[in-house]
Amino acid sequence: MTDTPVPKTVRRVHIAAILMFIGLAIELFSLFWAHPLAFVLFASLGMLAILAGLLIFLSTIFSPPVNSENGKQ
Amino acid sequence: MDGMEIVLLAILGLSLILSAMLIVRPKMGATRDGKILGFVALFMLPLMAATFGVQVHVEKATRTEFCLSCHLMEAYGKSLHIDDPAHIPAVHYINHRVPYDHACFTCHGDYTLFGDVKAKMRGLRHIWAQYTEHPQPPLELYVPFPNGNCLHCHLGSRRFEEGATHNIDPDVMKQIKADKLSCVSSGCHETTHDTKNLDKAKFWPPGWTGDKK
Repeated sequence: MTDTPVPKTVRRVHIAAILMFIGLAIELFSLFWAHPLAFVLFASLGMLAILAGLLIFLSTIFSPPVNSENGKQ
Repeated sequence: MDGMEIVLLAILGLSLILSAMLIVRPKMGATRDGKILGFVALFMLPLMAATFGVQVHVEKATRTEFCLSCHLMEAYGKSLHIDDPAHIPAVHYINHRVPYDHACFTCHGDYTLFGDVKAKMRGLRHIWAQYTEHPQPPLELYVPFPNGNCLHCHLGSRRFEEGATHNIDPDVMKQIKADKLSCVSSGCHETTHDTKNLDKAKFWPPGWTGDKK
């Protein structure tokens, strides 16, 4: 049994969703953490993960569609 | 929890659920409908969450409890309860001349176009200093306390404009308004956060110790 190659789009959406989930979870945590470092955590790690997820997703949907034969896009 | 925080929590919850769906079933993102879902889950909602998040964090940073959450600020928080009419911060706090829950920011935030941003940057500088310079009380302001922070409320008020000491000499009022004579200079309203004598101070309300339960 051979594994079907995962299309690039799906892989990128998966990575973007993971990064977004991490960023949003950090933001949620920072909202309930009553400490001056909460904003630093949100503005650095949280925003970075959200921004990375957002850019990866945008690059995925705006990249030109390519013939998906041979498992490539 | 105010309205904006509730909206933010709703957006965050929805975004997290939709992101989790795309993590579990990433193939959804390859279809046309999936791309629309992805656009909502990975672009629109997170963008809103980030924007609201910044606003909520900036607003939270103006609260008295936020400022006093730093160990170094404990003595300054206590000094707000000193029962002495000459102690300027306490008089303002105890008598609610400044909003009780935004007391620090009301006097220490600059009333300029980018005052809030400057205050936030100063706050980040405080955090940096906390971990790199290990400051010890009594603390000093980075710049002299500007009269503008007092005049923002007092300018035009009868008690200030007609105050005997303020008008003892025609130049005094001009100098105060031009920020050349500080409101907290020696001989004027000089007793600010007297953290050195807290052990001898009497607090209001009676029986208040400031100890966290």
